[in-house]
Amino acid sequence: MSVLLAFIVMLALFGINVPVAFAICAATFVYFFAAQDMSAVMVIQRMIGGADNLPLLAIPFFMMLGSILNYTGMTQRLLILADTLSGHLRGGLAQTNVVLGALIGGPSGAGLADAAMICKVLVPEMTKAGYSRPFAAALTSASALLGPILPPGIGLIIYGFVSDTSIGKLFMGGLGPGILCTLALMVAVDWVARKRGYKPTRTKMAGIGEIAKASVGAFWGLMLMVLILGGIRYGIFTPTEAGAVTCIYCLIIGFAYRECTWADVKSALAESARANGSIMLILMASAGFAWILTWEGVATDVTEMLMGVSASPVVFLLIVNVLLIVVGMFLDGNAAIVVLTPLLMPTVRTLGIDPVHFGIMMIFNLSIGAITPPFGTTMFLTCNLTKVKVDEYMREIAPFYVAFGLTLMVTTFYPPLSLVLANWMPV
Amino acid sequence: MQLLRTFYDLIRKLDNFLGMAAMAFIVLLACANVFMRYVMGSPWGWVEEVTVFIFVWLTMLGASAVIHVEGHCSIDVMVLRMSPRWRRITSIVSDLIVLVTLALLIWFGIILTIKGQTKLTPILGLPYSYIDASIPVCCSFMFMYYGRMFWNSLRGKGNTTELDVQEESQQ
Repeated sequence: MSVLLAFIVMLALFGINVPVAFAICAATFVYFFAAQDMSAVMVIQRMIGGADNLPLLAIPFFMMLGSILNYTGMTQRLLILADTLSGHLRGGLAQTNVVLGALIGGPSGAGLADAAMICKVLVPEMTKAGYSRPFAAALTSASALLGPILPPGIGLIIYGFVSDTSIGKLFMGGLGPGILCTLALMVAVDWVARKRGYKPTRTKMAGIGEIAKASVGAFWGLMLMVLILGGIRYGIFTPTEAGAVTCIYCLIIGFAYRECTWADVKSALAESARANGSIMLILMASAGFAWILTWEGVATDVTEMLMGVSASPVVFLLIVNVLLIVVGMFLDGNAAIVVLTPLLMPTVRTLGIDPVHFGIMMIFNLSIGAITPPFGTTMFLTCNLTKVKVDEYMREIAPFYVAFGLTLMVTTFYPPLSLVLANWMPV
Repeated sequence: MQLLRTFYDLIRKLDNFLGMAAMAFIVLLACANVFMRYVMGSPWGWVEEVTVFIFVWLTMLGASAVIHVEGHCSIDVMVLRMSPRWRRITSIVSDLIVLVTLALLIWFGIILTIKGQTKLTPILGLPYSYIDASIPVCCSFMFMYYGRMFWNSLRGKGNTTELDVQEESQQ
């Protein structure tokens, strides 16, 4: 009963524009004062407990990596490469948007930051070239969705930590679905471009020489992913340390190419400290809230309920798919991972579903929720930055949902797509 | 009043600077430890404790610094559809809720900090108080920032997560 009260308070506070982190804290306090004899000091203790964990350090590191990529001009080089690779296709700039989302989204790992960056870099150019603004906005949020799925993603790190799954395996597991999703988005873009006559940016395919030149320019940027995955695979560093090592790697290259200055480093530091604060405060608050659910034994109830509906993994996965998308529409994705993973894991284990496979699916679902009205966070960000109305945005995003829906179904019901690569990771 | 403003600016600069320093420090420390383990063959055992310790502080410092620039993420879709009058009322109410929550965090944070004196970390033997203190200290910063925003919106200056923008437009 009191758990329900806390939930209602939380949603009401979300509604009246209380910052998400404080709304979750306030709801936790309400529960404590209404239903617990224990002192509310427990809330603070759980919050600290949610933060003092080594794996989560990857969050500030990868936030930092994202800012550094922009300051060191690597983003720009990757953009040139994306253009050479996809400019000749129908709807050239739109295809570039997707490819850039995949190239950048991989290393930086946070959907929101990617969306903001692509909004600034590509959307103005797309509008100039005659694309409709709402289409550009919808496409940008769709390609930013690739970030959390392609390794390394912050969502994957948090899930790995909460469910005690190998983060290295999760990173590798995201590769297959991520690439499939990129291709599906490109097909969707092609379909829209054919219907509306969006032109290619270049007349014919870039020659081998040009592609080679752009690849050399973006070489260091492309090596990032190899460095991260290879370093983890061969045990040189942990997934957490991978973030810190790649930050230094990018800075060295940035300074070697004279593309970044000390002032840039300072802004990158301040930016990532703030971004980490805003993400982690929500996580800490959610850790407090998740404790209530554990204390009240909600996980057992959920397991019983889900097993009562059907004992077949297929039905379970279908239900969870729908549930997670809906949750993602209303709740911050990272907070949802912290709160929901402990509730769902017992059922996942009982049904014999691979936790790596389940994690990828979960992140995918929550990210789709984040680009969906009425409350998707990525959707708000792109709409705000591009000054597009939510209704217009909704009309344009439909073809991308088809692409996501198909990829999601393949990911859900064909586990090898994520597991073959994941099992190549030893730990 | 002038004194108050100077103090406010000082805290702001301090929390920004400490956040940056903490960020730089943990990146370097983590890299140094990779070097120690992979090249020298013997990692420092204490690094784990120190980085986690700094990480909690970094999070709380960043969480207060973010108020001035991007603002904490919130869902404004309902508020945007309200009339200006109702928008002002909800903004006052929501600011009050944030302030009360922060006050609770500070209060229980202080209790936890005092309790934590006897609990020591396993390797370095530092009292947990040093970690726990991040909550009351940084929540006090946040209380001050949100307090000022609340004061501004009470005086009808419009609710302002973007303090800097507002200051510039005033000048």
